[in-house]
Amino acid sequence: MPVADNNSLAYIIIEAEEGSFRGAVLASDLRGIPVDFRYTEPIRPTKLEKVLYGNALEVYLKEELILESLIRAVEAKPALWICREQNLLAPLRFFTKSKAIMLMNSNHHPLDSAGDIESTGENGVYFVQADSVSAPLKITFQPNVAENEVKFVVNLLVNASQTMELTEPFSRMQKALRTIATEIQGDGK
Amino acid sequence: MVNREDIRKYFSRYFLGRIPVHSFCFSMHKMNVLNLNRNIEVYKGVAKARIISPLQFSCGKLACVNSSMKMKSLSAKIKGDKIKSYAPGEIKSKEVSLKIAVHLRKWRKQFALLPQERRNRLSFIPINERVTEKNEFNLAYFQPIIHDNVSKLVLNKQNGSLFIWYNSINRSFDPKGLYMYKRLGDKDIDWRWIEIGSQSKN
Repeated sequence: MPVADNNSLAYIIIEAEEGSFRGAVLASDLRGIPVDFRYTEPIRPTKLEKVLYGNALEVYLKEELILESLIRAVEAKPALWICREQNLLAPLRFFTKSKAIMLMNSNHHPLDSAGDIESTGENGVYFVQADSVSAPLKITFQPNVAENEVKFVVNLLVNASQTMELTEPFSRMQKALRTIATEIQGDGK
Repeated sequence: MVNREDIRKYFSRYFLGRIPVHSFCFSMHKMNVLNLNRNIEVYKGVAKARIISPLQFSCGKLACVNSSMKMKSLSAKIKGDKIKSYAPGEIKSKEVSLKIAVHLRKWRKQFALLPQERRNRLSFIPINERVTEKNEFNLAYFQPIIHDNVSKLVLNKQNGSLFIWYNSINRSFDPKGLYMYKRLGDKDIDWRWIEIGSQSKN
């Protein structure tokens, strides 16, 4: 079992587009430089599979099949797993057995200084001022998260925000998936 | 005395050919009376349902019926091509996998070629705190950028963000901020690197 690396973060995205599902995981150092990047080939369920799985198909594909496969594929053990979809947070924590958050930009007014935390009123959801020249980030933990876990994650993010932009990897991963999809289409012609 | 036979002969000669005489039989035909009632017989139109497990078809054992029919001995007597075994009613079923496969690919080297992007953060620095000199005005501010690792910077003129290509071999972690500014009267824009934390005068 790899030991948690306090100098790396892992980002996960899973997308559904035009009936096909795909996902990617990026492990990066605290500068945003990739350590590992893996993606799934698009999964397009057949009509039979749609009938057999019914309404559970999307949940099964996104929250179990793709997510678990991506997590297992990452060789490093990052200090923190980051997603941007609420419904991935619980399974992400379950499969990684590690710290996991949902991370988003916000339009909230800046807090006084880097490291400041403000509760949103929702259980486990906070505004965190990661650096002094941006709006605070909106961070969602699982409900009833322990206070020391919140502190650990906030310290890690404040530290990382000095050398990288914390939500930027998501857009880079999306670009990568689009590039890969274009390559696959090109090969198919 | 004239007998009756003589009279008949006499009259028959007299009327011969004038009056046809027919005999008439009063005996009636026996009438057949038919019964219009029908007996209704009920036949079952549906046979008993038989459910056969699809597993039985896939195991191929039905084809083994051939052995009890002794097809081998038959085939020996026929010249030419041998008759291949044939089991009437043989059904091949296709197994459907319920597990959806996920194919994972590595793409780290190609991913490392993608630039990181920094958005303009100038709006988060109050105007009177921005680092600027006389006759200059700031257009944008980007951070954090690992200055020693930068191999290329490109301004995205569509949305004002900055693309950064890093040289990942360099292990530097020294972050800096970057002002984009313009001097009054100059056409070109200029850049100024600053230490993080000193992006504002305070």
